[in-house]
This record gives sequence, structure tokens and C-alpha cells, in this order.
Amino acid sequence: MLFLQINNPGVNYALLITLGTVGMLILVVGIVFFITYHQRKVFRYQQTLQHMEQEQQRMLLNASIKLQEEERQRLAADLHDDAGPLLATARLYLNENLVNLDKATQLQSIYNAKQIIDDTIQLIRNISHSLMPPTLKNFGLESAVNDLFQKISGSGSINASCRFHDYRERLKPEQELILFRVLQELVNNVLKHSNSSFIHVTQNINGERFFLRLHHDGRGLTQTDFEKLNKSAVGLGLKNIQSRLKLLNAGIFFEKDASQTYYKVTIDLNREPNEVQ
Amino acid sequence: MKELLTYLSYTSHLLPVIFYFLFLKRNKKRELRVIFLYTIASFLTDTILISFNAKQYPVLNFTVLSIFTFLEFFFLTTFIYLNISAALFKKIILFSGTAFIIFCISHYIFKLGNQKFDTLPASIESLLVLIYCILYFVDNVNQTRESFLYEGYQFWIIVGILLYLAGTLFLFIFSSSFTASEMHTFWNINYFLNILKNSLFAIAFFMKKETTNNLTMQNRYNI
Repeated sequence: MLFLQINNPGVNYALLITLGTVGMLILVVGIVFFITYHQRKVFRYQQTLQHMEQEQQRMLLNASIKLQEEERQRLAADLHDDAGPLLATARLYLNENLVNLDKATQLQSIYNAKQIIDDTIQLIRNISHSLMPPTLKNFGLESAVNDLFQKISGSGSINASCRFHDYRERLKPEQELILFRVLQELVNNVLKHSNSSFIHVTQNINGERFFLRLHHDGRGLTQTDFEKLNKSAVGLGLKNIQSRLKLLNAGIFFEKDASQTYYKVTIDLNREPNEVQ
Repeated sequence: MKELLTYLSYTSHLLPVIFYFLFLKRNKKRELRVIFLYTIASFLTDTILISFNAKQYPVLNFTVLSIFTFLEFFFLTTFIYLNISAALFKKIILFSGTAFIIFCISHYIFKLGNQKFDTLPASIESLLVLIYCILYFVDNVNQTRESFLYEGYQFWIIVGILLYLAGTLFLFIFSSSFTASEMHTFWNINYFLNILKNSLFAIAFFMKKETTNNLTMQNRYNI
């Protein structure tokens, strides 16, 4: 730091100080401007990101509400169109029983009313099963998926199979239900859009991670397609999958197999075994 | 004109003090108390330097200036230290600050009676605090903030410190080479920047803290 104390009579200090001071002030003002500008840019970028995230959340919420409404409408329609007329007919038969005093006619109308009530019970059971499959509740995800795939394979149009490699410990009931619904939606999409000849689901565990993989050989989606559809106004089912999996903190990944023959969908989540088995 | 600038520079120390007391409820933070103490120390130093002529009391002048350099460094560094979060930057400030304080004391002991102005410590002090201010900005740019940098009181204090120290750095470096008339002329830079610095400190004391300063995203989007 010796230069700080050099006292040379030939040096023009006035010029040095003026230039030095002006230079330093320009430098400082420049630094402050640059930092402020840079921070504004970063801040605005963060705001945009947050805005986009909020927009996506809103779309997911809308999709889930819309789906709920559709489900309610379907239930209302089932009850109104099927159960309602059946019960009204049963009532007519019973009314007939009060008016007509002939024993044989009375027995016939009671028998008819019983038949109709049995049909109504079966109908309500079907509605109830579609809301919460009893196999899933009583025997777990593996049995429910097996059940679903047997029904699909039974139709003869597609071969559906599944294999659970390590499912000795069941997941929590709410996790199982969400996974089953997601799988139903994925299978539904495959049946509707892929034109594939088979669907195969496998289950694995790696440490604390639980994996479900769905393979099919038809037309499918990649992760980019999935994200694009998720951000657009269409693709209600996919948005519903996304919002359901968000509840589980689970991830989903769409890809084409390395062999470029199959499409693969992987769902992974943290394992939380059911305490009450 | 010169007298007016000297007078304005001297009284400008009172501006942040007045604002500090006027908005006392907003200024209860530790860092702000440090800046308040710094302005009080600057005011007292100027009062002593004006009251006692440098030619008649050279030792007293040198002692007061040396103590002020130490205090200025201590207060400004403490302010920056309290506002920096990166552990590495804190360590750099701590080590270089300790080394500088040791240097200040030894310089005072060895140079007492030989000099009128503590050129070397004042220049090194300016350089060090300038570097610390840059570290403060680097630290803040790297952080995820919920508000613009200039919405915080710290920004105005740091800008005040930066402008004052950057503007007076060359003045301090060459101060030992000046004649009395040159000193008379060039010291106006110091007065002018002192007024600017104190005005920026006053703005910082006036600013609302926490609630409105730290605007969250929710406030911005009204959700």
C-alpha cells in the first residue's frame, strides 16, 4: 500500500482526484443499476413461474370439480332412470294387490313386485360397487386390479394381465383407492384411444418406493404429450390423474419403451403400509 | 459557498437522527440502531474537529480521526455483517475486519505526532467496506426474495455507504499530498457526498419496515 503515500510534485493531483472520484462514482452507480436491474428480472421471472403454477393448479381443481359433477350426474341418472321406474312399477303391483281381492292375482302381483325389488337391489349394488369396488376394500389393490383385468379380458377384444411382484404389505386404503382410480382411468384411455392388443401391469418395490408400471402396444403418450395436454383445456381425464396423484405426492411418467414398440406409464410413490391389515 | 456546504454537511448528520426518532417504532431493528450510532459518532467527530483547529491541536485531531476511522469501520461492517446470510462472506468480513482493526491500532501508535490525517487506514477502510457492500449485493442477488431490492431499507443504506466511500476514496488516498488550499477545494467532494449519504440514511429510517416492505406474492396477486 506504499503507493498511497507517494508524494510526487510532478503529478497533477487535481486531475487524478477528479478522474478517480468520477470513475469510482460511475462504477458504483453502474453496479447498483446492474444489480437492481438483474434482481428485477429474476423477481419477475419468479412471479411468472408462480403465476403459471397457480394457473395449472386452478385447471386441476376445475378438472376435479367437473369430474365430480359428472359422477354425480351419472349417479342421479342411474337412480332416476333405472331405480325410479323399477320402484314405481313395484308400487303399482302392490297397489293392485290392495284393489284386487282375487288370491291368485294377489300372489302373482306380490311375486312380480318381489322380482322388481330384487332387480332394484342388484341395480343399487352395481351403483355402489362402481363407487367403491368391494374387492378393493376387502382384498386390496392386487385383487381389484386382477378382477378388473379379468372382466376386460373376458370381453375378448384385448388381453389384460397384471403381476404384483411384492405386495405382501397393503398400502393405506385411501392410497389403494386413488391408485385404482388412476389405473382405471389409464386403462380406460388405452381401451378408448390406443388400439392396442394387450395391457400389462406390473408392481414392484424398491426400498421405500412403490412402483406400478403399465405397458401396452398401441398408440400412446410421452411425458411431453402428457405435460402439453395437462396445460391445455382438453384432457380432463389426464388432469384428473394428475390431481389424484398430487394427493399422494406420487409421480407419473409417460414414455416409449427403449425398443420403441411399447408405451410405458410408471407411477411411483412413497410406501406407507397400512397399519390395520 | 464553502462555509454553507461545510455547515450543511455538518448539520446533515442530524437529518437521519431526526428521522430515526420520528419513526422510532419502525426503527427498532439492531442494524438500524448501528447506523443511528454511526451518525451520532460522525456528528460528534465533526463537532470536535470544527471546535479544535488542526494546526493548534494536531495530536487531538489525529486521535479523533483515527478513532472515527475505527468506529466508522466497526459500525458499517457490523451493519453489513448483520445483513449478510452467506457463512463464507461472514467469515471473510470477520477475518479481514479483525486484521484491519489490529492494523488501525498499530498505525495510530506508530504514526501519532507525524501526521494530520490517517490517510492509509481511511483508504484501506474505504476499500474494505466497498468490497463488503459488493459482497452484500452478491449475497442478496443469490437469495430468493419476495420483494424488490430497493423496497428494503438496507438497499438505501448500502447505496449511501457505497457512494460516500467510492467518492471519497481518491480524496483520502491523496490527502497527505495536498496543500492547504487544495485541501480546502477538494474537501467539498467529501461535504457533498456526506450530505447525500445522510439523506439516503434518512430515507432508510423513514421507510416502512416488514409489513409493506416485504410484499409477498399473495399480496401482489391479491389472493
